[in-house]
Amino acid sequence: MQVPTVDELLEPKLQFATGNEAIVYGALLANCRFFAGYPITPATEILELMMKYLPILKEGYCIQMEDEISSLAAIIGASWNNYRTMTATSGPGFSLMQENIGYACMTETPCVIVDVQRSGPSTGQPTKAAQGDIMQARWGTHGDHYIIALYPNSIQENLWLTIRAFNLADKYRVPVILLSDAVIAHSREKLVIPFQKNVELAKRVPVTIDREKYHPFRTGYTQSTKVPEMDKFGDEYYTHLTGLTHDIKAYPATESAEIHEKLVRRFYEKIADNRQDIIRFEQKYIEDAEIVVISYGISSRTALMAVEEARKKGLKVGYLRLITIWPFPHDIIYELSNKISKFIVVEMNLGQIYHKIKEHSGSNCEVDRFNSIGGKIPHPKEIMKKVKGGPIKDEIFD
Amino acid sequence: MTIIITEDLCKGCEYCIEICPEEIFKKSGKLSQRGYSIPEISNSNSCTHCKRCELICPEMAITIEEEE
Amino acid sequence: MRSSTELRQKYLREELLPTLFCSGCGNGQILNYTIRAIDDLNISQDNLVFVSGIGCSSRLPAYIEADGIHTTHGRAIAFATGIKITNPDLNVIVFTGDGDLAAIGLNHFLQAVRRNIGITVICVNNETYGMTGGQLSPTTPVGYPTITSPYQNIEFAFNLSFLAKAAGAPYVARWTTANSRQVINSIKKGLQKKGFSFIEIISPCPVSKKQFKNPKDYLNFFLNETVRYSSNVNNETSARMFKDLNECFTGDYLGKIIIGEIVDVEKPSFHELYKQLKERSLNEFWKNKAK
Repeated sequence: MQVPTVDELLEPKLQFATGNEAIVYGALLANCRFFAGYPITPATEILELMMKYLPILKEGYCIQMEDEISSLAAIIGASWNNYRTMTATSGPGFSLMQENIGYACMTETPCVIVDVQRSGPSTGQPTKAAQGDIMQARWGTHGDHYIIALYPNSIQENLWLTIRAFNLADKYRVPVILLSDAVIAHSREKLVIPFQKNVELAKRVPVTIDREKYHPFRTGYTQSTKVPEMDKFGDEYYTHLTGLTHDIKAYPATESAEIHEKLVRRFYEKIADNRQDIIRFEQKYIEDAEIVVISYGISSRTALMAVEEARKKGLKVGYLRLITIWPFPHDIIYELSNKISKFIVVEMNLGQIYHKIKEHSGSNCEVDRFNSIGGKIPHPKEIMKKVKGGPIKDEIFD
Repeated sequence: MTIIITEDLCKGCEYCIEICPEEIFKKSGKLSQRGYSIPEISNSNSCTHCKRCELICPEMAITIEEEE
Repeated sequence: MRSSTELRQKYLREELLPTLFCSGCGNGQILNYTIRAIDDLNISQDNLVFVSGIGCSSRLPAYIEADGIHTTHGRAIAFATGIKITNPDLNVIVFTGDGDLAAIGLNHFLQAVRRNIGITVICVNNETYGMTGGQLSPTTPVGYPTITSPYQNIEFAFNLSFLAKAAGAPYVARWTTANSRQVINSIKKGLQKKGFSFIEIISPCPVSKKQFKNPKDYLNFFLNETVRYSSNVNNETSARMFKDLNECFTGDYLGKIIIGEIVDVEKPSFHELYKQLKERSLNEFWKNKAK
């Protein structure tokens, strides 16, 4: 029986789809062929669809694991068979995954972890949206590490950012967290599914050096980036991986401060050196703005409405939407802070990106915030009140 | 039958001394470079080539070489 | 059978020797046995992946010239599941310890058995947490003093092989480090089994355990205090053996170490069943397309 292509599988090409569906389609277009997951609201549909589609495709496998910890473990293992792999979860599951996220960082294993945020902490409000995992995505796992986190705000963007997540993971050998939220996951919008030939895919750094000279964690053979060549299991090149501090041969080297520093700094540098390539954001009405409303994900939808309302009323308000959350786009923040009088950070949490904005604008301008929790999407009218000059919150939630 | 002990690997656990049915290995009082008390071979002619010592050694430090 | 010298040259990263294991440690013996099993079966090192968790036994993969992945505590089997599913042709061997497997990793262990994933799990059971100094583990016998049971352990111990049997593993064997040839044969059988294979090896821990003073005392204990179960007897005896599970912990068997091939049956592996699943999914896809 003939195996269909991804294009044949994903029909029709114009759909009224949910955010979760768009993530699945994007992953399949990006050649993801292994998914391991655990049911959790509001991410369960991603697992369900993958269980339905992956077996149909060539060498596609999908498994429902016994918990989120093993789901992430399974996709890290499978990634070393030259598979593009993904898992999906929400807050409570994301908390469980933190240890293995650190492991993926330490072994520089590419994989995509979808976190469809819901209101927390703990079991919280499973069916309500929130943006409370922003700092956790950056710092959830212990120790010095660096990850990439992306956050779309529309169904169409869900599809494209999923593809980008896989590309960045492979290019920089890092786990990429794709953030979403309960509203975008379950809302429906027009989705145009591209043909696979129109999707650009990045590749892992190929192994070019002789077998005798191969060291799994040495960089700079054929390119000057700090990303090591990545082999796979099951061939004549032997790769040893460990979560312990290791030298370039991947042998444990826990006694050397020098080796540790060199290794961990390289984790930072391989991302930090390539900020230009990685960071994306969207700006509107910025040129003459005096106040800039910053937001991301679901809140940015209503934030934009408020900004456009304000412009109609003649107020010089601009809009900045973060698409790459980590690494954090501090250059644009610093640049704008010198031109404007105030940032207003709109988030569905009690202030997480707010602190980064404050850190990078220093004393150049005021930084105010609009926080909406409990599953309440920030209302444009309320944001307008803040724009028009509502009181500045001076509680410091740290 | 030549019994070769790679002294550099031996950690002096004395499994070979215990396991040999012909009691070929004995405590020697000699210390290796790393400071372990290594065994000595007392009567290699009695070796029956059972290779229990080769199997039991945690460091794979014993090799029984067959004579042609 | 190749000599130790030849085997070390072929299979070990000799620049890392001698190993970090203590004098008389069972891990070294199990390394010896595993390499001999692989060599006897002529398994290519290109087709091998060693997976381990955290603990002394988990340091084994670094010594072997093959692909290896030293993962997080208790999760080795979950990583191995992902590796085996996406490349069923690989020989995936998991090295784990009693703490790594039966405490933090118990769920992943039982689930992989339940799924009948075709990996070979070698559990170095020294009835303690050796690397961290000798704390009690789920296999520490009741009554033992350890560094976290200073007033004696009041918890009963798992028998990991019986757990694996109850979860449905098609091959389960239990030996001690003193049973050299039996361990090698069991590892060979396990590697050839299509589904999940579990080889539990009771091991000494001369430094962290206070049971005996010298490594050779452990060797003698293993040789003298074991009771062997054999499945190659008539049905009545096997049935009694299984029915008498509880008796293994009381009466005649208390304090003895039960060894033997506990299970050796045929059972469809995850991969065989997944292959059929893929066919069904294709059938349904084209059927729906035709509508």
